[in-house]
Amino acid sequence: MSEPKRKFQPDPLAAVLGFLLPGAGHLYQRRYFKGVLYLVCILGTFLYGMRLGEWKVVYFRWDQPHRTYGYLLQSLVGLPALPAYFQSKRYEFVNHQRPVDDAEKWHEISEPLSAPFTGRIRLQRENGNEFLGAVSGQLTLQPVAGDLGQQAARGSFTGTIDGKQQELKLADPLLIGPERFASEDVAPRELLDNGRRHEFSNDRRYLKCHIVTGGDQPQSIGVLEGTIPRKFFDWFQVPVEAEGLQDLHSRLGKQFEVALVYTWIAGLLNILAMWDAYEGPAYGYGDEEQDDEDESPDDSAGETAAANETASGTNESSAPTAQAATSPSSSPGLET
Amino acid sequence: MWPLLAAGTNITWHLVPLAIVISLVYNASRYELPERIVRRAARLFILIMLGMGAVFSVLMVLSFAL
Repeated sequence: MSEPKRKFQPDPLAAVLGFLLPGAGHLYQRRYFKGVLYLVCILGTFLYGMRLGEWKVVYFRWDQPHRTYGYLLQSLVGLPALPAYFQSKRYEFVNHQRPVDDAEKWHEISEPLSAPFTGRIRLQRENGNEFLGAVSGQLTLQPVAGDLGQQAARGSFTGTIDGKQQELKLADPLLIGPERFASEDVAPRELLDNGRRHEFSNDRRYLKCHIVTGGDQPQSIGVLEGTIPRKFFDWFQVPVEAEGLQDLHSRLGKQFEVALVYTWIAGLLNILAMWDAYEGPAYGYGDEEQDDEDESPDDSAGETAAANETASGTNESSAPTAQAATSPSSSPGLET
Repeated sequence: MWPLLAAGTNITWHLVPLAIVISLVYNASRYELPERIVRRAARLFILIMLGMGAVFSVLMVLSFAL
């Protein structure tokens, strides 16, 4: 090929680069074919596994009995898996006030919220009729001090309701999904639309609050229930809780297990790639055996072929010796 | 690979791309020459598929009429 033969010496930097991103060590060494091969194969396997598992197979939890030992293999893929470790810390930090695996919604917000809302509305009109239907628009909420010292929320919703653009005032009681969550049940609880009892989502966040009249003594005139978006880094590789895992297993079945296997194998394969970046290929360039094969086209028969097989893979432990005997020039650290 | 994600696809088919990837990466870590890597990977892939096919056949026979 066009890539010139190189001298293989231990290269720790390439190994580290290979750990951070599969194939990066080889690209750094200008071994482009293998760099691209490792990148496509290992990263592709990892991402495909994540896709199979709906992007919820890579996360880190170290609390009993939910320890994700598989993450130790997944982490060998490097940067694509490392966010899971930091996400577990962020998750613990944000959710430390509630027990792990408590899928209950929150009743308050700690900072102002402004997001596009999609869901349903039940609104009591001035003429006494009630409107119930789908709605979407912009929602804003601010935390405020309640009458009894507790935290409350006030805000507004602007959207098209029954064909007319309206602005509604919002107030407690508020029910909202956790800020950082991997798989939340966002199915409506009060304003049922399709009768589904559970509907899990990673990038949507459940929200329900009351619509109130204006003035000093606001009164409830309706309910707004639906979802707002959850930021990518608030669900990506965040630990999946028991309820979400149960949903994944029940819906995906064996596919979830296959997804895990894909990501584990990607990590294991990157060990081979890292070692190759560090010290070069195990059996050298491979053209040494090519010479032998030229003499014996059918390398599945004959003594030459038997020697080839010994030197090229059927017995790994004896391979370096065989290679050293037949091709000292291709050993790591020697110039060819 | 993406057609494998279609609903109703047998989960066993997911082993094929996995075998391809393992064959390629394993042989890439053994050799340096691209043509050598590809040839060896093709051979290993066939071996893996034959091995899995054999196991599959044995299991199928053992589970016959169960």
